[in-house]
Amino acid sequence: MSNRPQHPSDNRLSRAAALRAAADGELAPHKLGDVSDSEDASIAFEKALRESVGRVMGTESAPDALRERIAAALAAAPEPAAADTGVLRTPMGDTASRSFWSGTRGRFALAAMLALVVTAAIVASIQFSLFRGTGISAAIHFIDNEHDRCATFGKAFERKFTATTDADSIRTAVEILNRIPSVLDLPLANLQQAGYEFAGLGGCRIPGDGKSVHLIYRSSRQGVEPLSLFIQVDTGATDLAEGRSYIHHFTGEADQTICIWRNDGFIYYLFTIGDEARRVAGSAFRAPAVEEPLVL
Amino acid sequence: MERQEFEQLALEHLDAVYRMALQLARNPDLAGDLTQETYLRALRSARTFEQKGAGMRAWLFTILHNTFYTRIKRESRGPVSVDHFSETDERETIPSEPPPAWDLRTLDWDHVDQRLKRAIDGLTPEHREVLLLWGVEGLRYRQIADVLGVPIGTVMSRLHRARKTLSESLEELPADLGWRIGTTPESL
Repeated sequence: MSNRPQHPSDNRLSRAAALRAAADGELAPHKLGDVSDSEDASIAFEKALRESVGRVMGTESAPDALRERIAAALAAAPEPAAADTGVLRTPMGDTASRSFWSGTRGRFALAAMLALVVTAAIVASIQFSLFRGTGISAAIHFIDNEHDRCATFGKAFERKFTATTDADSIRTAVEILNRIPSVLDLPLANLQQAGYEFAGLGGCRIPGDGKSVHLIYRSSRQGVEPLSLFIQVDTGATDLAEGRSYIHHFTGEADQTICIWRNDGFIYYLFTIGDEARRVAGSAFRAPAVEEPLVL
Repeated sequence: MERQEFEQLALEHLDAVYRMALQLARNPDLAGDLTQETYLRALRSARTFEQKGAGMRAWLFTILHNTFYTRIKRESRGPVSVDHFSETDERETIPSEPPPAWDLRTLDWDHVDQRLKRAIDGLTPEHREVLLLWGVEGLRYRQIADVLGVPIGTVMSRLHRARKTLSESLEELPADLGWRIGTTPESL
């Protein structure tokens, strides 16, 4: 045997290896030459064996809990280090024009700008301290992804939403959250009148310590997007004030929002697309009327 | 590729990555951790993926493979917590035994699947890995070689040995199930 590497197209392959390669579609059948009946049966067997291996080994799928854990871990992971961000950095000397910044008007402009920056920093720090340690950003990212993943009502929906009736929903919610969130007792007549119907409830894993569930509602009206309500056990890790709704608008998607509020030992995250959906669902789920923007 | 798009695309292959992790680690908890580590590494290397332009699934398999064997090497310095695995001699040649010639019309595939499952469980991780990439994921020899970082001849060799083990496990089926070896449909 030489040291030359073997390859399916290598004409020095043994007959046995060539038969297997042909069965695997790696070698054109005509390269085999004459094939005996016995060899034909061997090729057929190898093909059948491959199918059987596929059947035996291909049944496992990732548990939903793992899927959610990984989605959350990805959401919480920092941005990958950029070898080359493509951002062009302009040398300070190009912009720090002496003529502009010199003189009274320039200094006034600088002072005004600094004041704005300081004010923005104070506002940002208030917002940040409000949600510091809560992973609220990760939660929002997770919810955005989860809604998108399930709102097509495909395989992900079927796997995750184990409860599709009211009775099953309550049972599942109790199993996961240990008690019934008040929203599950609400009549939700307004929501139904607006064309939304309950599609399912399933467990999920919003980043944070509290266990959580995801409810999804689909609309019977043409072109109206589904909406999602996520409920997480409130472990007291957030500084969210009760009695007010915190609204997060997604950048670049003006009508896509998450409304977050805290009530009866739970944190509610309402994901909607469109102002009407937000208004109707917010009212149906008793989101507090006092709203505050949530800037991340 | 935007980060969100990357994550979405990567998560579409989660079942396949988890399946492979399970075949390697043989423990659902370890497989879960391995899968998560694979995805976090993938995210960190997302730009490499864009530059290489390889298929996402094969790329994730490569990361998983490297992650698993890095762990094995690390753990081999301490207590071993996963299956024993033995290095295959990369110089090994492709054996020349002919594949068996079963009469497929006589096979009871329920029994075959049960036998195969047991036989697969008894394989080394590296043989299970190549079998999974071949039988479930449908990768070509070249792609498998790229994922595993081995020559194509090694892929064929490992695949041959894994198949041979499976075929031998089937030979032990009782004759009263209607098994025949070395027959052809025409000879019946």
